[in-house]
Amino acid sequence: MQNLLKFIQTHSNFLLFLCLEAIAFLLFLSANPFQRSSVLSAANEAAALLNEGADHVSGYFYLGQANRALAEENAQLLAENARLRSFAEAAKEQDSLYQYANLQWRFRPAKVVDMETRTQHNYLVLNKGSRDSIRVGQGVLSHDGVVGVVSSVNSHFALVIPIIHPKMNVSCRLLKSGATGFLHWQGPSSRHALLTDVARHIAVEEGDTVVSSGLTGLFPEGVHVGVIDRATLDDGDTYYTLRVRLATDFRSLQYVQIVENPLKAMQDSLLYHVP
Amino acid sequence: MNLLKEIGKLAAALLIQVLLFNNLHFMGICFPYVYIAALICLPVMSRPTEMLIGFATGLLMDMFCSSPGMHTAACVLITWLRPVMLSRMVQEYERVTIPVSGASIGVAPFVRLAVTLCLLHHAVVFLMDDWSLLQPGWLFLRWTVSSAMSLLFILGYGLTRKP
Repeated sequence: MQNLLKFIQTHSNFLLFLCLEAIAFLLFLSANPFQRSSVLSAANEAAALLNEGADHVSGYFYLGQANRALAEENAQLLAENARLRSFAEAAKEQDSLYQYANLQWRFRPAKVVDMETRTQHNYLVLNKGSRDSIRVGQGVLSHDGVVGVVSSVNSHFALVIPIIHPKMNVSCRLLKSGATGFLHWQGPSSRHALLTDVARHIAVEEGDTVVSSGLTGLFPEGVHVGVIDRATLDDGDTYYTLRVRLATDFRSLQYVQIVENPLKAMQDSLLYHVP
Repeated sequence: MNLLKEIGKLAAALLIQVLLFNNLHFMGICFPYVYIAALICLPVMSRPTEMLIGFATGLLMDMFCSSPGMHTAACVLITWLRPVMLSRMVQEYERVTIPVSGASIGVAPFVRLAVTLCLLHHAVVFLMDDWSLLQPGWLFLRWTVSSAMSLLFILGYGLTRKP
């Protein structure tokens, strides 16, 4: 207060000058419509510019929300894509069974809220649970490729065992040759896993793409798993030892899709009849 | 008493401006505003007083010209700037209680003061009048010609006065 008074006192002449000029300008603008409108529009423009700047800044605060919205949309598009693909298949096959195909594969987006990727007991925790129709045994995909399988759920969260866990194995297929194998992981790198059970008569090259086989009904067929980055075959071996560079980078994983296959139970129920 | 005398001079200047010079429109170019001679030649007073006198003069001028604000803004500007310029040009200018003129502060400082303030005043008036800057050349011509014409009278008045 003291400072304010002091300020007014020392600058009284200038303040008076500003006051008188302001009065003059107000008179001027109130009497001249053209000048008034141009000043007002300039002020509007300045305000608009300011608002735009503020909007630009506040946009950053809503990035999380935007990400979520995009993930939802992504899930819808993936589901739509899978559905349309199954329609195409059905059209090709002309078989009434394929009417069921459009029931297959539902995608639900989720965010990774906790994870461990550097031990032998790796896991992910997602922010969706049984409340969101997540069930044990559903597959989990990311934008880049296969992530893992839901192993336990409660009402709000789901625990996922990733493919970089020693107890996981996923049925995979080499895209080029069509040969199937199993993906294992023993560590320590979260970027690499092993592909086994590929017989020696099959031609395998480094750089071959590995995709999901769709055989167990966990994941849709053809989801990217990784790329062969080292293929070894010793003289006595029956099977290749293939090292796969995984498509999913677990360290930077944020958003995933949980895949539901409503027909999996039906598919699995037949297995009880295997003699 | 001194103040009353100055107010009388200002009123006379305004009357001359309104009755005579406002009707002297030479080809739509030359609009001399000689009434500011009375403001430029005011004796040194306190700065707020000078500014208020300028404000009142401008307001009256605007009423006569039906141009609200234009002359007020210009006059307040020159009465605000005049003490600043005087303090730079004249030693102990506060002692100059007699009206400012060529005789009281010297010819060269007075000419500089008058030219600067006149150009500024006319610039403000013409800019506010024109506002759009669509024809800057035309605006510049009006500004310089009118200022020259005004200065002729202002300097004639200020330099011939006896101290």
